[in-house]
Amino acid sequence: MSAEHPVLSVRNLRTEFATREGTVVPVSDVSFDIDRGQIFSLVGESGSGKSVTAMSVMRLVRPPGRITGGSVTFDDTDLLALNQREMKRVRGSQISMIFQDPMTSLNPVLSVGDQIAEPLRAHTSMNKKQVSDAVVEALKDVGIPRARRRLEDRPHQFSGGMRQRVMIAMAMINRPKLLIADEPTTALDVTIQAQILDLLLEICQQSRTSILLITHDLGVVANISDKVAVMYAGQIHETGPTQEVMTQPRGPYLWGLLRSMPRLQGTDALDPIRGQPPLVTEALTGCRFAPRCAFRAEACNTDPPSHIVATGHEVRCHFAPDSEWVRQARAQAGLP
Amino acid sequence: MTLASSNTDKHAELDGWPDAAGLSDTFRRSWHLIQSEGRLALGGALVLLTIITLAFLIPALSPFDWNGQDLTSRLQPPLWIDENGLRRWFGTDALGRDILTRVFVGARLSLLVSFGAVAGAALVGTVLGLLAGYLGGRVDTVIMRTVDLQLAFPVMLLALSVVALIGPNLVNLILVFVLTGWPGFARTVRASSLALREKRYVEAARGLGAGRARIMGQYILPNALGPLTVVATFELAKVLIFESSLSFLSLGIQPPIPTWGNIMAEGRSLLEVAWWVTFFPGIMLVFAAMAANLTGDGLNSIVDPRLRKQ
Repeated sequence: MSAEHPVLSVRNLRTEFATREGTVVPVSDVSFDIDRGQIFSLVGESGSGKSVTAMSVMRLVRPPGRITGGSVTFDDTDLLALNQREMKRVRGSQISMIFQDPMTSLNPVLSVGDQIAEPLRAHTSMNKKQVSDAVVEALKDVGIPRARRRLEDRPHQFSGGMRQRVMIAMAMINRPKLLIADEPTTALDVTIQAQILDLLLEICQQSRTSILLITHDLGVVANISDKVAVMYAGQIHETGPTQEVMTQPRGPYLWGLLRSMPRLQGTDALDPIRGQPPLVTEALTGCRFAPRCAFRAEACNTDPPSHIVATGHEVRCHFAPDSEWVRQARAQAGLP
Repeated sequence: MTLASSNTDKHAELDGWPDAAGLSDTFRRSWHLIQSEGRLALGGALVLLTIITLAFLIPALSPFDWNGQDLTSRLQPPLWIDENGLRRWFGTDALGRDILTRVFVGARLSLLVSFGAVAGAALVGTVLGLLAGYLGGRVDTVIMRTVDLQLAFPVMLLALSVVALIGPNLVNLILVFVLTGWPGFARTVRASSLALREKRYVEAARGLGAGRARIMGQYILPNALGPLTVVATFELAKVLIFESSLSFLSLGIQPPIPTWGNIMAEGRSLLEVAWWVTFFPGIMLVFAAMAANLTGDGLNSIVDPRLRKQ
């Protein structure tokens, strides 16, 4: 896309969890690139491996989870080769993270000021005065009024939206190159969601921070992201520039997802994807979506390769290049 | 703004604080808590505080030396049944020493040992419990198996043998009770840590580059303080009684330095002629231990919302 190196480059990432019932592989063979300043969305239903992918990038997967393959290159550094100490230096300074639920993501006994100062304390050698000035500045940046007077307040004195603002201030205070936002707006009211997303975009634009946005809200994806990857059962099913992928989906899974979304126009009954996603064990073979796919065929019993169907648009489906099924699907849906 | 201030006024009336509007939020909130949940805790703490204050006041104000023998006034009964009017409020012992003074000098030592031991045990237990709970794995196994081992020993037997081995003095006594007391703290803190380390805010802190020590100190420990305080107050009551038991068996602090236990031991053979020698240190021990337990109960109901009454 650009001549610059991607900020984050994930190649064939595989993360396994050893459980008593056998090995579960929530992330198998995931690859993607995020460019500087780009907003990259990772979408998929619950259990598709979005969050584990993010945690793997941060190297925060706890035992029994283990990253067993692939590479994560951040700014020319191989993150998987760093030791714990070096990795700690990356977290909160170069890569930051915000979480889904602002109600539980802040320590109830620590003042908000102290918590926002955490990344500064961990990564810089500022004195007290500088830290408190920086924290006040960060709070102002995220639109919290009377910032200096709120430093000593505890999280319970803030509303949900305000807490998410605090989380953003905390994550962005060191101007990281990459922000991982794990469903940052899911727990908020719709009106607040929009505000928080706008704020997030604005702040990241200022510092040219890239965002890895994890969500299951296709509306949000369509609105704000540059690039999107749709995950299914631990693999990326379809990825490409948002505009193209959302308007011309080439994989049957994304097609199904878009068909099952309610729209303002049209009164047709929704058309859900039937069935449940599979349990992602080692034993899975063939196309993972095949059991639920309306267009499955003989070939789907073998692993589908990733087909490039347009610039940057990749689909993991045997039939992606041959758009016969797309024509069929469109005909079924009554589209030209 | 006006709404907020009228609210405050209402609270002020309810509280019965004439000037409550001027009180800080925090203070008013703690007052609410104490009123609604903490009467037991407050009562217990007040009794303990009174005993501590008296332990410093009475020996200082008393006209009698705690070790001053007066063979002419041996086994004087307490003031109110004393015909001779010798101003011995709690009476005297077999050597004519003033019981009141001795009981409160003894209180100093008993309380010093108990508080010291609880503080020590809390420190050791908390650190080990945090490490076990947060780090998990092999560290956890080693620490918790040690706890199991420690708890498999009868406390009194362990205390007796250790004191017999290293000799009964103040420091050794505290050490003994630290040794027998830490597993309770370690277990409680470990249990809290196990729950807390899965909290989102701990994960968030890790994601922002906070180190292990900082997470344990700032994110786990403060959130585990509630149950920890409860264990500490119960432990205090336990140590008070064990210390007196050891003293009673003359394995505690040695006479002539008084402790509640050894005063009672001295009075034991005189029970039929001079009940007051045993009675006063005994009743003090009951008060102190009960006060500590009440505080624990009260704190427990504050800390554990399930026990809250309406």
